[in-house]
Amino acid sequence: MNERDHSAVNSAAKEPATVSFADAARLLGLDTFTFYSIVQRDEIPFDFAFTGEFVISQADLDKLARKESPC
Amino acid sequence: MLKRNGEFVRHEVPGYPARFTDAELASYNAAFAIIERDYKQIENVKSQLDRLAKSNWEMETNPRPFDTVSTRDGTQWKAYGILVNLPKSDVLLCRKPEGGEWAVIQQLKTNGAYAETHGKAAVLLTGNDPREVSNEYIGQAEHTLRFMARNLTAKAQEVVWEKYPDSNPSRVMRAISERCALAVDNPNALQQRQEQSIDQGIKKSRGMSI
Repeated sequence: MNERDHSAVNSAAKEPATVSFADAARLLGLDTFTFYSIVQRDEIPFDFAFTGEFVISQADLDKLARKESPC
Repeated sequence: MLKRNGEFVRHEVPGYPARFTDAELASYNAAFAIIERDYKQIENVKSQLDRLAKSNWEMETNPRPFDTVSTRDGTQWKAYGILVNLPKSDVLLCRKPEGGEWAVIQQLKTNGAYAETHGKAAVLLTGNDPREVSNEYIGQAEHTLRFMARNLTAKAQEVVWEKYPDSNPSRVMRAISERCALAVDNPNALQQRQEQSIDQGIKKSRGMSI
């Protein structure tokens, strides 16, 4: 593996995994509208993708599913 | 017929007054297909909220509950009405048997990961007057719908700008943004514009001038 390949792998490893709201709702077994209302009740923080779309970090989603407070 | 970039401008889309070329319509349709499922949920919830807002709230003297809901703290609530019905959950108007406190309660119908760890019922709002708690819920739910509409617009943007950069993306995005916003804030205007465009299409097909 050359230096450039190493850099790409390291960069990808640093990038936190995120999921869309629609996927988060599906993974939690919720209607999309219900998931948005949960986010608005501050049960889970959200971020923006570079496109402006709202996303949830995989780590926070896992915490919510385990009932640890991600906020 | 008008032309733009050498293409006829002939396609109408819901909620947008201007017409699209074939290329713009292809971009619009591709982006809308990505958000359509969630967009329909916005329309569905909004129509239920509008119906709820127009209800006359003539309470019976002795209203009968149709269900009992238990929250995680063990409180039992009697359900008197369904405010919003969704595939995986209901939002219920409930009352405590003792004390007469009213609440808006979200009840999940399925056993997903969230229901397993957080319980199937959650109190969203409480108050002494059923109309007041319901109206407060309508306001909160409309805020959630605006949040959804904003995200759907952002999601559509990715398709429009990345896959159709040469098909007037800013114009296509204005149409999608307008449609999402109208679905929440003025669905009647969206409906009227659709009916007008169908009406105009019929008149044109009959060779009538407008």
